[in-house]
Amino acid sequence: MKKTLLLILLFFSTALTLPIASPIAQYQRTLNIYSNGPVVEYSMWHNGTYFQGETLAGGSVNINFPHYKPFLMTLYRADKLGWLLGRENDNFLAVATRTATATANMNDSTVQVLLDVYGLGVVRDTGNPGLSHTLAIYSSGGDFLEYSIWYEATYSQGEVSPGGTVNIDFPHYRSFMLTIARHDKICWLFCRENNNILTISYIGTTASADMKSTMSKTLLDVLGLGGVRTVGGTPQPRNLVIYSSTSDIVEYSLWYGTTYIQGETPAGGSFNLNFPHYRSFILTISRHEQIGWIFGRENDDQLAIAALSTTGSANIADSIGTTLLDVPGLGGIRDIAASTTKLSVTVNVNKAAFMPGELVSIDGVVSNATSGSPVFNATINTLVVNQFGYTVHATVQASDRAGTYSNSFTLDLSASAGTYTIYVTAKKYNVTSRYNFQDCRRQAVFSVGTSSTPTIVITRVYTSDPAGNAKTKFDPGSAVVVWITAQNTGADLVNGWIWVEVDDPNGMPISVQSQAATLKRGDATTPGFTVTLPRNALSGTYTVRGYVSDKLIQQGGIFLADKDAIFTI
Amino acid sequence: MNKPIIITTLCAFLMLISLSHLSICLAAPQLSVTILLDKQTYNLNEVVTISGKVTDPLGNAVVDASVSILISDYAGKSLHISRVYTRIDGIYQDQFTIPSTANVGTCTVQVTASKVGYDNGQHQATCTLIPEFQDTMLLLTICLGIALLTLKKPKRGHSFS
Repeated sequence: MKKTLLLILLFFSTALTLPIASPIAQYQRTLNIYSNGPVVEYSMWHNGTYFQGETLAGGSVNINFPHYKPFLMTLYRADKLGWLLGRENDNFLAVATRTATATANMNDSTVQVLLDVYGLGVVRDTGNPGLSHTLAIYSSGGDFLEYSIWYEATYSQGEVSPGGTVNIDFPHYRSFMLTIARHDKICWLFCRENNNILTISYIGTTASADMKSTMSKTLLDVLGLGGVRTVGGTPQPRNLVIYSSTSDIVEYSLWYGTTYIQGETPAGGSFNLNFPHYRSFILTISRHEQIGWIFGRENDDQLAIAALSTTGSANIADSIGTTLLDVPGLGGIRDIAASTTKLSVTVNVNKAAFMPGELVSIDGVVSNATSGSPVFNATINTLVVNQFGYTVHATVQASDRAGTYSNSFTLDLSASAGTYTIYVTAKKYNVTSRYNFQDCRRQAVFSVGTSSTPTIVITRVYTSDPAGNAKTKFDPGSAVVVWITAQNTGADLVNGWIWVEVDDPNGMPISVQSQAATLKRGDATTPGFTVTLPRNALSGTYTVRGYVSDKLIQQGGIFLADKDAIFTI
Repeated sequence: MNKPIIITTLCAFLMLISLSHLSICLAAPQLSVTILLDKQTYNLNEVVTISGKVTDPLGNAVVDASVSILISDYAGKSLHISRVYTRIDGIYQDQFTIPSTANVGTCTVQVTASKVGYDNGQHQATCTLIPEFQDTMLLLTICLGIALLTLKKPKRGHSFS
């Protein structure tokens, strides 16, 4: 008996120490690819995933990018090229960019040199129109030259004999990377071809290291982030040290062929990373607004790297549209927050009070906040949480042609009593426009059983003349009475306040009024507020907003409910 | 010491631990809210942009927090009320146009952030309202003053001797 009691107590104490689960917010990470005139061919590449497409001439496309993983984006048209190399975490996207350094018409008989690296080799076209998707690699350094070509999930490599030439085929209408390297020299080419025009951007050696040396050598150091160095001491020819130069962590990734790994250093610490022998690899280090890219290759214990550091960053969740890459005459990439048009969304529930086991129906309308016109195919996220913050219903759907959406769920028979909150988020990204809608959020509440907190719903806001005749059209100088019906299905609201704001057609408030109200459980009230319109009142649509607060906002009160209505002059 | 006493002591100890954890679990974390005004001084009829961030005690952004806003003029008259919600990064934003009937002087912005599972967070900021075209009026006054001084200069060449 005592043992049982002890076990129960142990279970009780352990259960209470467990953390309370919280809902994880999910949303899309999107970049906007825009054209500065021509059709822009774009691609997105991360690990084994690759997709590509085109914008319309002068148009734009929104594409999603991966969370917490490095990715490569390409913009291309004829002799214009842009590569954006990015990684996001915690909504901060840090990027390094490249633009075209050389171009060649692969369909003519002229031999065009795309790259000539002294002491290493040459990359050129063949001068044979019949080989329009073939490059010639010539070893000019009196030594072997190692090359690799990499596109989508395909990776191949080989060697060129001293003084020799090797022809390699590259993919048509695809982004690809080409590497030439030998010991302490490397050159990394970012390429894309279409219509027999090949355009490249290259970076050459930025550092090299003898991996057998007992001396540690820094290969890359990014200010405000950290860097990469050789181990030093007892030689570890296949290891690099990723270090943090701040008190924060550094996120790293290593990518070669179809192999991909990633991780984090300890905060302010370092991590030893094993890299592949005799293979081209990409190593990234990043944290929030800083990033470093290493394009490396080792052979005979000699490591050569070409490195890039941060050229731009953006907070992808703010309302600022940051341009991360702009290629004159081609187009650019920016974060989606460039949108300026606001959405508006309403949320209604079929009842204000429910019992466990009952069906809850939610509906609303998504519209353009400026024009009022319905918005079709907007994405609606509906989340319902109980009084403890636990999710009881979640769904994602699209608005129909009338801008409406609806969903429902049945309350569990054991649903706890309290005030439940509905969170609705509306999003709309127009894939053919440079401009998009800003997300819109709205909340509503309902009660389940006997709630221990007030559950306030404004069921109606309407206008009338002083005699009480409901009307929505008024003359300048006349008196408008605004009526707000508030209902409480929860615990008593004592010393609450009911508020109204009337805005003119330009959005300027012409009246803000409030009055105290006590709403007991089950009560409803409809106070009226008289607003005298100016004699020179503007013609147009006026907005009336009714609110109920738990106490004065000046005293730390919060608005518990709100609802809009309109009238015209 | 006999066994029942040990067990009773242990049980009491465990109960105390459990209750202390219970109190920790029940104590809702406090929200923090900031206020950022796009300017410090506004003319009447000018658009005001209010923004800020809602965070939890660890500094993490809080999404879907409800932010209640009240703007009052120097005389305490309510100019604007609003309820907005925070985005995924905890940022909220609101805009309104200052009514031409507002009393000039110090204007107060009061904000309260709330969300299920958290204690409310409050913050207050101020800005200054000035009459529309005050700058232009000042310039005109200076110009007028210079013009008057120029006109008052005595004329030369007259002698009464």
